[in-house]
Parts: sequence; C-alpha cells; structure tokens
Amino acid sequence: MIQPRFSNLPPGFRIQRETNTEEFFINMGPQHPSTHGALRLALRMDGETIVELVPHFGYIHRGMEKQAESMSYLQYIALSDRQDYLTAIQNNLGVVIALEKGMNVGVPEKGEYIRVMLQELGRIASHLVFYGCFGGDLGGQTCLLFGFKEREMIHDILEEVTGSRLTTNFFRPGGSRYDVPDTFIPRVKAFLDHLEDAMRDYERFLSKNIIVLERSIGIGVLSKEDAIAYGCSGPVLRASGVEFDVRRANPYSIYDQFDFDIPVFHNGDCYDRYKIRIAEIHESMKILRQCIDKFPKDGPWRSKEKPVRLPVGRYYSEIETAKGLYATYVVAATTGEKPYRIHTRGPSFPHIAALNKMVQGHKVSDLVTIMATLDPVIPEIDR
Amino acid sequence: MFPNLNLPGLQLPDLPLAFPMGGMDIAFYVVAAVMLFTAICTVAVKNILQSAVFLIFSFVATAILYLLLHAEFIALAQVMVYVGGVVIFVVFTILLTSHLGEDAFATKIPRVFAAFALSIAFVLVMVKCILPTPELASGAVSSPENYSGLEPIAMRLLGYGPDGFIIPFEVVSILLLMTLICAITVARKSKDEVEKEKAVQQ
Amino acid sequence: MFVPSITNPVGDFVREMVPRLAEYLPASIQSDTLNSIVAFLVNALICVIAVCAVNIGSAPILIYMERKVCAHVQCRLGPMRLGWHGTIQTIADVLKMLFKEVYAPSGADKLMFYLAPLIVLIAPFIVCALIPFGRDLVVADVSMGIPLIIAVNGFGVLGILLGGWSSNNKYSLLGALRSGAQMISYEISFTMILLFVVMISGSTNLMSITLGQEGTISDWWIFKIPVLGIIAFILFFISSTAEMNRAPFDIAEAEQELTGGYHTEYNGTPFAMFYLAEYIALVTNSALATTCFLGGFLPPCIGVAFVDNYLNMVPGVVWFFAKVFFMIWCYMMVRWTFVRPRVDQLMDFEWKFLLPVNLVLLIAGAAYIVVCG
Repeated sequence: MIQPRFSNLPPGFRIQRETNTEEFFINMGPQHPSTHGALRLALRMDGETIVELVPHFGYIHRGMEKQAESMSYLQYIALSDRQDYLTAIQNNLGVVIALEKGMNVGVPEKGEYIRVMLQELGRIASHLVFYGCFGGDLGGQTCLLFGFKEREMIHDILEEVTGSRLTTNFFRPGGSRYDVPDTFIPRVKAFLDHLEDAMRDYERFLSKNIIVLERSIGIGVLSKEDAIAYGCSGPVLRASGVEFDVRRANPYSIYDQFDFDIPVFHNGDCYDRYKIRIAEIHESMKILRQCIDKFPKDGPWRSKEKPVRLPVGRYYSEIETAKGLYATYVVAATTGEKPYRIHTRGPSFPHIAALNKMVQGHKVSDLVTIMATLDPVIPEIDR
Repeated sequence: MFPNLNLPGLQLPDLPLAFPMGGMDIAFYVVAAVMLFTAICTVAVKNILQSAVFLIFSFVATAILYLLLHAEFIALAQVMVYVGGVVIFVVFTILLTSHLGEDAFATKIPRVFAAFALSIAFVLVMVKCILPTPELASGAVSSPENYSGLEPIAMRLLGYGPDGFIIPFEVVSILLLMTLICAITVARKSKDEVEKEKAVQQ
Repeated sequence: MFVPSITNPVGDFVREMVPRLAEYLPASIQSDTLNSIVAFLVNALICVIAVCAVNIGSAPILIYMERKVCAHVQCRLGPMRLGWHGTIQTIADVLKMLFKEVYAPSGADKLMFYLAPLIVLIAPFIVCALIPFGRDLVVADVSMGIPLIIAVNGFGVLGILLGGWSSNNKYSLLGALRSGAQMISYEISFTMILLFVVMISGSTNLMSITLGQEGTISDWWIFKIPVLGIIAFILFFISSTAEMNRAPFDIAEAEQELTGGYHTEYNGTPFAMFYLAEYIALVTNSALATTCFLGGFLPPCIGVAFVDNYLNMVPGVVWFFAKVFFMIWCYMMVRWTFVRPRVDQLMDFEWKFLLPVNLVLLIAGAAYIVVCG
C-alpha cells in the first residue's frame, strides 16, 4: 500500500502541490554521503534546481554546554575535542586560553611554541581533509584518499606528542600536559619537506582541472555583505573579500611574532574557498618553518601547576581554528572548579545558516560542492 | 524438416494452413503468441508505465517476426526506432509528468464491452480478408539474395533511378529538421526567463 | 534443415561432428533431421555458455582489477588478505551478494523492480555475442553487426529508467532521469563514431571490419587515416565512457549527490546484476574499441618479418584480450583520475561540442575516402 506523501512533515515544509506542481520536496540526509555527518537538509526543488533549502540540526546534539555545568573546567577541555573533531587540538587551545585569563597564568616560551606548532599542524590536517572531501564530493574518490594520506602523517606526529590521534585533550592552563619528545622537531621538518612536494602534486591534480574549474567558479557566491551579515568567519569569510583573521586582528599566543600572510580572495565562490585553503596550508607551513628555526631547545614548557579554580567573573577567548572563529565564553558564578555556564561559538553553524542564500538557483550537484567548500563538521554545529 | 503431421482427424484441407512445417513455423507461432500476449497486456494493464514496457516487448516481438522473414535491417530499424527511441521517450514523459509513488496515472478501462466488441469485429474483418490469400501458406517467402540487406536498401534509398527513393528520403529529412527546430523553439527559454534565472544566481 | 541463418565457425565444427558421433547410435533412431536438431541445440548451448563464460567470468576479474588499479592510483594496496594478493576477495564478495535477502521497498512496483536488472543485462550480452574474439571465435557473425549493436543499446536506458522509477525513491528517479537523458544523448555520438568506422571500413560486419585492418600497426583504423582515426578513437573513448555511465560521467549514480542513483534501493542479486551489467558493458565497449580501432585479434605487426613471425605465433584471442584489458585499464585510470562534471555541463558537452565535432569528422572521413580512397 502506498502511504500518502508528505503527510508526516512539519506544516512549514509541506509542498502546496496545487500552487506549483513543478516543485517537489526532497530530503537530503540525515543519512546522506555528502552532508558530512548527520545533517538533514530539506530541499524544495524545481526539477534539479534548488528553490529553497532548510537545514535541520540536532541529530547528534549531546548537550555539551549543559554537560559542562556539571563538570570541572579540566573535564570540559576533553569535551571540546568532541566538538569539531577535525580541529580538536585547536579547540583545546580556545578553552584553555579562556581559563588562563581567569586563572591569570602565563605560558613559558617553549610552551607557546608547542602550542603554535600544534595549532598549525591541526590547521593543515583540517585543510587536508577539506581537500579530500572537496575532491571526493566532486566525484574524484582519489582526492579523498590523497588528502587523508598526509593527514595521517600529522596524526602520527600528534599521537607521538599527545598520546592520541584525534581527540587530543592536550593543552592545560599554563602550558600542556607533556613536553614534546626530542623527535618532534625533526619529524615536523621531514613532514613539511614531504608536504611541500605533495601539495605541488595535489594542486596539479585539482587546481587547474577543467572540470573542477567549471564546477566551482561562479558557484555558491557569497557576497561580502552577506558573509558578514551571516557571521561567517575563517576561510569562508576571507574568500568573500573580508580580511579578518583572529591571529592578526586579535593575536593570541605568540602569533604576533611570526611573519605570515592572510590570504584573501574576492569572488566568494567555491573555487575561491578552495584556493584560500590551499593558500592557508602554505602559510601554515611558513609559520611552522619559522617555529622550527626559533624553537627553544630548553627551558620550561609549562608554568607551575596550579589547581584550575576560576574566580567569579566572565572570561572570553577567541581563536582562529581551521574552520573560522572559535570562541569560548566562561561564566564563573562562584569561585571553584565548576563553571556556571560555558558557551561555545563554533564557526560551522553560521556557515550552514548561509547555505540557503548560496544554493538558490543552483543544482543539487552544486549544493554538494558548496557544502564541501563550507567544510562543516556536524558535531560542532550540534554540540 | 519435420515430417508433416498428417494425423487422421486433424486434417484441415480447406484452410491454407500447414502446421507445423518446421522450426520457422514453431518460431513464428511462439513469437506471434508472445506478441499477442504483450499487446493485450499493453491495453489491459492499469499502470501506464507497465503498459509502455509491454509495448516495448510487443515491438521487439515484431522485430523478431521481421527477422524470421529475413528482413534483418527492418527488424533492427524497428528495435532502433521504437525501442531505442519512441518508447524510451514515452517512458521519459511518463516519468517527468507523474508524481512518484502515486496511482494518479492509473488508467481506467471505460466501456469495456464496447471495446471488446470493436476489437472482435476488427479481428473478424481481418481474418475474412486475409485468410483466402493463397500465399499465406507458411514458410519463409523467398526473396532475391540479400534483397533486404543493408547495402541494397541503402542503394535504393539513395538512388536516383526509377526505383530510387532519394526525393522522398530528402523530404523526410527536411521534415525531421523542421521538427528539430520546432522542438528547440518550444523548449528554449524566453529572454525574460533567462534573465530572471541569472538574477537568481547572482 | 536446422541451419541457423547466422553462420558460425564453431557451429560448423559441431555440425560436422554430430553425425559422426551419431553413427555409434542404433540405426533405428538415426536420421538427418535428428542430427541437425542435435547439432543446432549443441551449437546453441556452446554459444550461450561461451557468452556467459566471457561475461560473467570477466566480472570478478574486472572487479578485482578495478580495486587494484584504484588502490594503486590512490597509493594503497587494495585487497590483500584473502588469497594471494586478495585474489579470492571478489569471489567472497560475490557470494555474499548472492546470499543476501532480496527485497523491494514498500510502494515499489514489484514487476518493474525485478524486471529492470534483467533488461539492463540484455544489451551487453547481445553485443558480446557479436564480437570476433579470434579468427574462428565469434558466436554470431552477422552481416549487420554495428546496426544491431546500436539497436540493442537502447535496452540499457530502458532498464535504468525502469529501475529508477520502480524503486519509489526520489533519488533513484532523479538518477534514472539523469542517466536516461545522458545515455540517449551520448548514444548519438557513439553511433556517429561507429558510422565513421563503417564508412572507412565499408562494412557493418565486425569480422570484416577486423580483417580490413590486416597488415601492420599502421593499417589499424586508428592509424590508417591520418589524424582523423586518432580523433575518432578519442571521441569513441569519451562517448563510450558516458554511454557506460562510468566515472567521470557517472552522474547517474553520483554517490555524493544521489546516494547511488537508480540502484539506491537495490540489494542482493538484483544489485549484483546492475553491477554485472556495468562491468560487462566495460568489456564489450573495450572489445568494440579494439575491434573498430585497434585491429581486433590481429597481432601488432611492425613490418619487420623477423619480429612479425614471432608476433604471429601468438594466438589471436590472446592479442584480443591483451588489447581489451589495455582499454579497460585506460577506462579505469580515467575513472580514478577525474572528477565528475555537473549534469547540465555534461549535456552541453555532448550537444555543443561532441556532436558537431562528430559531424565534421564524418564529413572529413567521407572527403578522405573520396579523395584518397
């Protein structure tokens, strides 16, 4: 027996077939290969052209911010790994900086270098995943594997340093959990030399490919005004022509000591969002090379260990993860080990909100391309 | 060849039918039966798409019938034009115009009795007209060697002489060209629509 | 007499052998009619088994090859555990597929749902029967081979359309419509290139197309007509890739967009049949390219008698499969290298580029024949 169509949908999404029989409704996700996780996109389509897109969140909502209220500050650092798992090590830093502001502790120079290096390694890892997913979503399965191949090498380094590959849980107020091993600097150096060659290959693989150009130039254009209005950040914002990078605008850690560029592109289409991430990988490599040169051989890697107790107050930190602006807002109502409230501002949520603006008038295939270039991580949206 | 089955009591001296004369005859009856069955299914099935599929099989059976008559090119043209072209477009149209999983395009068969009466009358008329023909006796009608091959057909189709068909052929091609141009004109978006689409994309 | 109108060298052998064997039977049941019927049936059986063996037998080999080629392109090893270098892996996968429960989604049109994979298999099997694998190895040496290939290719579209529609799934329907439009469009270029081959070889019989390339490598159709042959070969490669729905033209399946397209809802044996059809189409299209452009079963002689003698010693079927597997390897390398164009770009490419180029190619070929031939 055939069930009546569309009867179980919320009223806002029921298709009025009488008014326009050309349009129909399609559900993309929550189980769909290119929504990058459990995201549901409700699409109103005219043939293959998208008329309207409504994202539905919350399929993997875990109530992290609520959980944080019954946790100690240190436990929340581990929880921040589980938000954007591609930039876990960067999220750690975001939380830790907010806590440091509260505890009023500093970090020794070596500790800062460790932080910056792991930050940039994490950024490269995340952008490599983007490279893979972008190629994979365009239909080139080989790119997917290529991107992940180098990312595995970064994870090997992270495993050696932090003890785990994905959910690092590494930084602590005043420094980090461990000192880096002696092999760390040579390994990063070898990896950078390898990545230099690999990136040349990868760019040759996609950047000039005529099909990639056809499919990404002029697709999913996000204007400068819209990008700001929707609260986009990171590569998505910079691809639309806004030169905003927290590392430069509001430097944290020791980012003000390095010489690097903030790549900015102006078209705001998928190709620019792709190119900007490739450019950022090169910038990160530049920072890493400077770190290797200046890395202090000895000296303390963390300040004296103190119990993590924050005085009453509100503490805010913002950092630039690979995806964009990652901000943590800690409210301590009582002096103690537990927060009253922790709020996280993740970069992917506003990007998905802007998706409807970008896909209108494009085809389903373009939606996949646009989704890939926004590079969302669903657990970070849902938290 | 099969021995002629002249069993007593089964003789049909008045009818010019000889049954069965050989493999060709068996093949003919099998194919004809399939053809009839699918043809009936085409009109009797309620779902339009299914009836289109049955129509395809009916056409294929017809093509096999042509093959049995040694008209290979006609058979292939039948498959090419009807199966590869016409019916695929019918199926396409059905898919494009119907809503998924709906019974909306299930057809009703109105006035069943009238339809049956008409078709039975048609069959009777056909039988009455065709049966007396003496050449109906089975067995492949012999034709000149390679008469229906690709090359002779092409020669005749594009020939200038008295048995050439070049002028009708060219007229048909102009007709097809006109159809193509008409189709493009109908399908083409007007300028306003194109501009509107561009405005949406930007 | 039961002599099929399709001549067949293997059949001649069978027809010769059956009366000889029949002499051992008691005299009372010996008759020419019986002999011819038995010979016909044995002949038919051999043909069916041969086609099935080539088709179904090649599928696991190709799947294994695809996985290995894909893996090596992607800097992996591919299946390594089961058997030597994972050779038994595909057989295990096929067995798993065959033992799965077969079910249709609710609301699906059951008849069409199960009919569609069967229809998809028609075209590759018929085309395979027409290919000359060697001088005496062809199932159906019909005079109108190329028109028959063009005619049966329509069934592939039909099967995909029906499969997509009957699944009662919007993604399937979108995939089916896409692939229907794509296959119908690219069929035109595909046909045009075959027409080009027919024009330069002067025959529609695949055997005589092959034999027309006898001689050295420079006599193969790809090289015999300067420049045009190579252009035609490249165009054939592109349009046959699209015709087969293979990546980078696999917008019908488009896993990232349509989650598998027309066979989203299929599982178990019906899915295996779609898969099989895809791989048989790969074999038949490669075989067609080999026959039409690369000299079929003829050895790649270079005009030096000393070398050619050795090359001629290798049986034709070996050369044939060597060339076929080279073509398949090319298809696979293309598949794992390029990304997928969008559906409207694909259509634009066919109608605005491929088709005009094909028409020009046909005219140029005709001019070449008139001037030089």
